[in-house]
Amino acid sequence: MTRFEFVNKLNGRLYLLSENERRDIIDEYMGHIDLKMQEGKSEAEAIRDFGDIDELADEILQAYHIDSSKVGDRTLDIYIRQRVDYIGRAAEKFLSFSARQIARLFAEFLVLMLLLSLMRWPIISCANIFSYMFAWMPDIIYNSLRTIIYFIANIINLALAFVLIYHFINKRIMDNNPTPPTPPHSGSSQGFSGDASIGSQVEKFSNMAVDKAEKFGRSALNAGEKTGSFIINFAVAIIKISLVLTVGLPGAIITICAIVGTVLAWVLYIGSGIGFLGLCICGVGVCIMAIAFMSWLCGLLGGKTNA
Amino acid sequence: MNTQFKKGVLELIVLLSIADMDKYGYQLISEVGEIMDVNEGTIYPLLKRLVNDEYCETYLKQSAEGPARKYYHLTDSGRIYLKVLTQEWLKFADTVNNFIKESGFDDKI
Repeated sequence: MTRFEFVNKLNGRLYLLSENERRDIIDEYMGHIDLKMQEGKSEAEAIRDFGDIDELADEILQAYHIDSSKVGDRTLDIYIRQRVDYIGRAAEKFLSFSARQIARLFAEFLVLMLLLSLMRWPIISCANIFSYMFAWMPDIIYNSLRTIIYFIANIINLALAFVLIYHFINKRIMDNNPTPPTPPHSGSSQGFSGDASIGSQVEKFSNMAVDKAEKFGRSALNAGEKTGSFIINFAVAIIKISLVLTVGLPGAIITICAIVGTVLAWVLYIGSGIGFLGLCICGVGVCIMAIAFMSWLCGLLGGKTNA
Repeated sequence: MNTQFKKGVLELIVLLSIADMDKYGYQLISEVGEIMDVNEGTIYPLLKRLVNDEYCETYLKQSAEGPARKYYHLTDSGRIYLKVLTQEWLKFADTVNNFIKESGFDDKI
């Protein structure tokens, strides 16, 4: 295992600790590995001496009086916290970009949207052809089969869209550092190659992104070239403000609600004509969004700024 | 050695080893490693907790080779804590030893 992987894994297991505590502990381990290497041991050997990472993390958490077995029961809770944290970090990262970077990002996003709309065609066509194969069946069976096929096609479509957007955020926002870091170690790019499934690749990307964001998030906030005229800066400021409203840390909850609402509405709309249920869910999503937004705004006015 | 035993006395041993002289993490771990076989990784969180509990404090000191090292120093409250802990341990070890003798099991080994 390389140092990079070690830090990555340990960071993942210790998310319950505050960032400062984690940084402190990891710094100590890095120093320890350095000294071991000075003694002539290899990096892998030094890391192997720490034993099993899960056990190590358990012991660290125990030192903070956190019982990891109880924590295990709230996996979903933690997963959601991690994701919200992730969206928040993406937003923070985005705010640190310069005008030029944002303009490029916007153009790339448009291309991505175009790609997504093009991607719909082959999948929908497949669903069309597939459903014609059942045209000889009685109307009731044919119609229900058709609905199911379109539903599946749309699910595939949505999954692809999610993966692509997630990938886009990771590659373009999380990895886009104003000052390119020196690659920590070999093996850090292993995540990109190999025939791993999309799921595990996404997981790897997210791990890498989280680690990178952690390392460079702070410096990135202050860095970035400030170019462009007043008008561009003004436009960027407006874009930034609107982005804070939609993807800022409190906005993460809003975004999730909105996405879930609209996604469900969309799927049901295409699946069964004008889906009344879909519209209802969308409405609920929008309502939650509005409530979340209002409460966030109240919090903001009360002096709790998040951006 | 039984891992539960180790866990129990590790704190005492760590405190004892910095009682007379400030040490940095790696040095401390090497010393503790001579007394008992312990996972190197677990001493750092223990130190961290001792610092959080204000039994220890840290300071950075430049070293001849490499970057600055973080030294651990026993505070006054740490010293009191160590005293209590040592007394407790001696009493506890005494009781356990006596109990072993009473049971007569030590002759059978």
